[in-house]
Amino acid sequence: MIAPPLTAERLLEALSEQSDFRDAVLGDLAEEFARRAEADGVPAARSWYYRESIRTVPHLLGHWARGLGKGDIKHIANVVFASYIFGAALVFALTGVVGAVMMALGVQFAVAEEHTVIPPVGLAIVSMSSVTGGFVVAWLDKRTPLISAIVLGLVVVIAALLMNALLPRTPMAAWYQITASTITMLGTSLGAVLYVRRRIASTK
Amino acid sequence: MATPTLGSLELTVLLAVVRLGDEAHGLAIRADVSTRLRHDYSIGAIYTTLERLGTKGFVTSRMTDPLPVRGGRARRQFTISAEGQRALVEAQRNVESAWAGVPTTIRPELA
Repeated sequence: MIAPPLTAERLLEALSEQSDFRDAVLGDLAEEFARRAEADGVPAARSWYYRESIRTVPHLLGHWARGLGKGDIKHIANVVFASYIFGAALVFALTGVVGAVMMALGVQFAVAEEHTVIPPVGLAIVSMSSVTGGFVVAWLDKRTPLISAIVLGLVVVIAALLMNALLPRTPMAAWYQITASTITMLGTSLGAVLYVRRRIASTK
Repeated sequence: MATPTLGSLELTVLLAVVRLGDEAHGLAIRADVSTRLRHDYSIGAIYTTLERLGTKGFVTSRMTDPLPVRGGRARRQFTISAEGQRALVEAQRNVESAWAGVPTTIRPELA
């Protein structure tokens, strides 16, 4: 029997808690994949599986959201908060290290739009911390790792935008905010995907 | 208490459950509905509809034994309930009532 793409299957699992609904959907996807692989070949079946997985995501999320209880919300809030603190600490640490290195090299540690660090360096720090944060939140929330990573990304973006708007300091350039927000959302999700892939590799 | 009503996709899915009998599981229902409505419904859409029908009390389901072809997962078999049968009868009555008096130029098969 030909098994469906493992990473896609695990990512779908990472979007919703274990339930009869999720198992029925993933089971049907696997069964139809096997039928199509026999009839049309594996590449065509894989292509169908990826397409159908994307179409299935809103339904899995909808089912998960409908069954969401207070305990689940508290659990996600806890893991997101812990990961947020971890990510923020990482950003401060990296900024400190980069700042120290730049000062030692005699590089000005303030740039266009009076931003705190040179934009590419700042974006590199954002990338590293968001991927790491996504990985950590997925590790903490084994039930719905991808959802927690997406929530973490949203929380970080909203917190950064609020701080930028409310705190009496020089505002960041709009392009920087948009780029950093996009990197944060993609980075936290990528971190969760990396965690899921690592979990697959360790169970093989 | 009034019987909950059926949406058009719910009606088609419920009719597929009746038509398929013992073979009423997700993939078969999806194939049946997609063919009849000439629309490629996603597996998720069919299960969301079946879940809604279950919440309304129109279908019941049971899990079969795990199958290797499904990655060791069970199939979910659906059966119409007595409440679902009543809802189907009522839906048909409503449609017939709505069509009553419509000229045969609009509905030539009645001519």
